[in-house]
Amino acid sequence: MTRSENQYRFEELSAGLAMADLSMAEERELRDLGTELGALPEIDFELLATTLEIESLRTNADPMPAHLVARLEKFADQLAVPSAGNATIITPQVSAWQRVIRSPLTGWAAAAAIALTAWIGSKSEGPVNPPLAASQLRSEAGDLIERDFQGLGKFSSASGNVIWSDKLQQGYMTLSGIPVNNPGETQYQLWIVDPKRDEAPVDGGVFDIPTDGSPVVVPIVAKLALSNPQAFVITLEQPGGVVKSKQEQVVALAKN
Amino acid sequence: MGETQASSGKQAIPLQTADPTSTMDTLPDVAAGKPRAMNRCITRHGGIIWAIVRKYLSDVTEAEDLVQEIFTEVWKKADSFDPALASESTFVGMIARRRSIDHLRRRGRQPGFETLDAIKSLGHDPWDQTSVDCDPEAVKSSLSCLEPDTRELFDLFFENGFTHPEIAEKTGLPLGTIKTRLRRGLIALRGQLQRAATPNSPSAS
Repeated sequence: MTRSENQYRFEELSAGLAMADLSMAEERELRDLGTELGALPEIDFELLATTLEIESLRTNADPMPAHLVARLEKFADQLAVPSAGNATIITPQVSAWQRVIRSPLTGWAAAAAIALTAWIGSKSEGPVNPPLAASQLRSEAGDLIERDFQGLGKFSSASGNVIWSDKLQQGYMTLSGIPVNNPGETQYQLWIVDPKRDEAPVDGGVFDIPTDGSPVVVPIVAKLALSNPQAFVITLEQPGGVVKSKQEQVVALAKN
Repeated sequence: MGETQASSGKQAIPLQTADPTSTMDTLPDVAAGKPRAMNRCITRHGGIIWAIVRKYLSDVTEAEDLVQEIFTEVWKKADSFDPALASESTFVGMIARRRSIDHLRRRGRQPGFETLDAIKSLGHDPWDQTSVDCDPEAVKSSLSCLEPDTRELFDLFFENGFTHPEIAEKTGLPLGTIKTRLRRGLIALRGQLQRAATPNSPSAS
């Protein structure tokens, strides 16, 4: 096929993606064509499909049941516990070694997904407001694990807590008393001990402490599914983190 | 995925409540953590989210759980809403539609959409590609550009909520033809909206 034929086929499949009617073979074809053309499926089609669907449903649908409205209202009330206080919100990063390993796998597929998830999720990787989300987690997760951090060695002033839900695969750390780091020299790295998954601790990403001692809220970005983690450990490592920590500088530990 | 849609009801019931504040955007307040903002968001958009979910899911219990999940996502993504790009209803509708489709795909053990985590690192703004104004009136009036047979398929699919097999049964057309015509119709619709947005375009008038 010529480039323009490929381009048209790519558009056609992008429209199919927006209408959610692609077969597995077509999904592969779309991915391959995207790679070949260096293109991403356009969000236009999904916007159009959504607009058409909304307009048709405005006159063609049943109302939401009263008991569901009541349930959602109660749910909304639970969300309304805001205020990070003085805490700074820290966005953790995937460790450098994970980025290297992941890059060939994410490639086009991730790029393609951008076009369709994009606006919905482009600004923030995690919840908009971690303190709010942590509050929600407390109210929603029936399996919430909550542990206190204890500073170790020269980091004895470190304190805080961690909450985690296996069901939602979501968690947050609130930390205080951790010294500011120079990201060019060292970074803090979270490890999650989950014996059911692996003997080796799971890498929970790296993060920086920008202000000495002040409270921070750090969403947990474990890239593997966790199940009943037994301990959360923060170490100080080289920039970008390490694959396996020698635990030469253990900052804080929260365990069962 | 269209094959798995649940047929929608046909009662003409308004999807927004009579809340006098319902025409105001609620998401900026949700993002700002203002009291009762999420409740107002539910009041304003609950109907349309429920309608979208029910179009895809026939099981009521499953649908109710999904609606709550969708509102959780709306709450999380509220700060991403930009009224200059699309209406709040479209934003919320996209979330509801994606989650519904994703739910069906997971149930069918088909690969779902990529997670947001996976795409974050690419730093690409898909809105760079957005080239249409999805104002509902503009979209509806652009439907007239479609060939009559495609227009009929659009009516059956979007207006009446029929699945692809149901459309095939009604029209006698093969499934592949229905898919192709719907997709090409969407491409034509986008083209029409793009031309309409370009005042000097010969076919814009």
